[in-house]
Amino acid sequence: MNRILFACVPLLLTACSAEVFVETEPIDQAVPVTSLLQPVYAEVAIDVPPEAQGLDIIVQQITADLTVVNPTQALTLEAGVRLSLEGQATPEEPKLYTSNTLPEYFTRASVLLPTQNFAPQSSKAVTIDSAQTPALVQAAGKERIWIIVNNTVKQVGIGAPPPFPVTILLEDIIFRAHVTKPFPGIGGGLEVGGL
Amino acid sequence: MKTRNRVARRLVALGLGSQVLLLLILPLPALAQAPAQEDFQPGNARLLTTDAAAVIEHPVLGLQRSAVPLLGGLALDTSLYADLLLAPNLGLRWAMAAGPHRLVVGARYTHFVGASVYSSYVSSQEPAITRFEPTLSGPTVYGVYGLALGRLTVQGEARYAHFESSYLSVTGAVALNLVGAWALIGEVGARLEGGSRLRAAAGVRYGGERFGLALGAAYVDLNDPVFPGGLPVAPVLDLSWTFR
Repeated sequence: MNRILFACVPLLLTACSAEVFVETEPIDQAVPVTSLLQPVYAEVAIDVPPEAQGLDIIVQQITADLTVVNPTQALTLEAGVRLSLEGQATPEEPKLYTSNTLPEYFTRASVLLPTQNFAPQSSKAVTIDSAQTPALVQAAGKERIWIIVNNTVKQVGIGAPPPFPVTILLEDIIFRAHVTKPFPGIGGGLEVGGL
Repeated sequence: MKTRNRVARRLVALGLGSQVLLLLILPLPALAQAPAQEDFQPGNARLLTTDAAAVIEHPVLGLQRSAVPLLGGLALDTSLYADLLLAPNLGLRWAMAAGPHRLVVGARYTHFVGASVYSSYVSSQEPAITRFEPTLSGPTVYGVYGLALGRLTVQGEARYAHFESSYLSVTGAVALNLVGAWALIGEVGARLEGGSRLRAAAGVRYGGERFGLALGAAYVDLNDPVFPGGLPVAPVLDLSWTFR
């Protein structure tokens, strides 16, 4: 956004603040499930688009839309989603944990989506709003955030379970941010324009 | 920041102090008897970044200030720059000259109408930004007192504006008519709100009978993170045409 805003210098010389609405490109994330009946925790990293980073912005609202897809033929998944501002995964390489190896920052992560059942071959659209989940506001201004999905295979349908790992899919993750960008220090711009 | 503020305060004090010193040292009677600035016309009554302590006597079309004089020293005015940037503004200005004394008071209201235009442009350049709506609406009030000492005018301006945030500055300025319609101009002051503390500008202004021109540089110190490394200095350009 810096580049664009810098291109608008003549405008900024007169503006005292701006309402900015940002929408990210949809991204997909696959989360592996590796065991039966025992919870597995998958941590994935998401790089926050530069438009929603820093710049002394005041966050008015952030929403995250995503679709949780359980592509398995016969496994009911019990899954929940947390947002962490600390993490070890990278966008290229998710990290997996078990209850025994869970990092201590898991307890500090904010619940975005309470743990719930996802039936086989189902998809569920979810909207997370900063009005209900203030933790989302903290995501703005960070370069990278981490989503930690806890996953348990609760119910196996008829027939032998498929070979692990299977995946739960987080599809079309879109962040929408409404931020106010104040320009409190640009009085000098007003002066040269005669205002 | 503290260091910069301290430096700014010193520079401001130095600037104001030097003007006082100048007044004390210069032989006032000689200045008063010097030829008045007959060749240097006030035009649109602007210096570089401040209003000039001058009466607008004729209609004038200028970038920083366009104005239509009314009766009794009153004038309707506008910043054409801001109008062109879709921030239409209208001001009422009253000025008087009594002997060497000049007094100006004025008020202006700005109402920004260009949000959707700017938003369309930014969105077309950066699709991730679905809307970008700048705001700039609010009142401005200011007062200027000046002392015309022949070819030298010394003045002080106080200006307050409230848009989304407040702006308050006090500025001293000197305009020295050296040759013909050309004047050297120096301004130094302080932004008490709405920007870095020190404000300063230097340049020249041509105040012909009809044509007016100002060229200079202003220390604006735009220190927002949007400007990588800041934008310390901005050019000053003003063109005007006076209708006589």
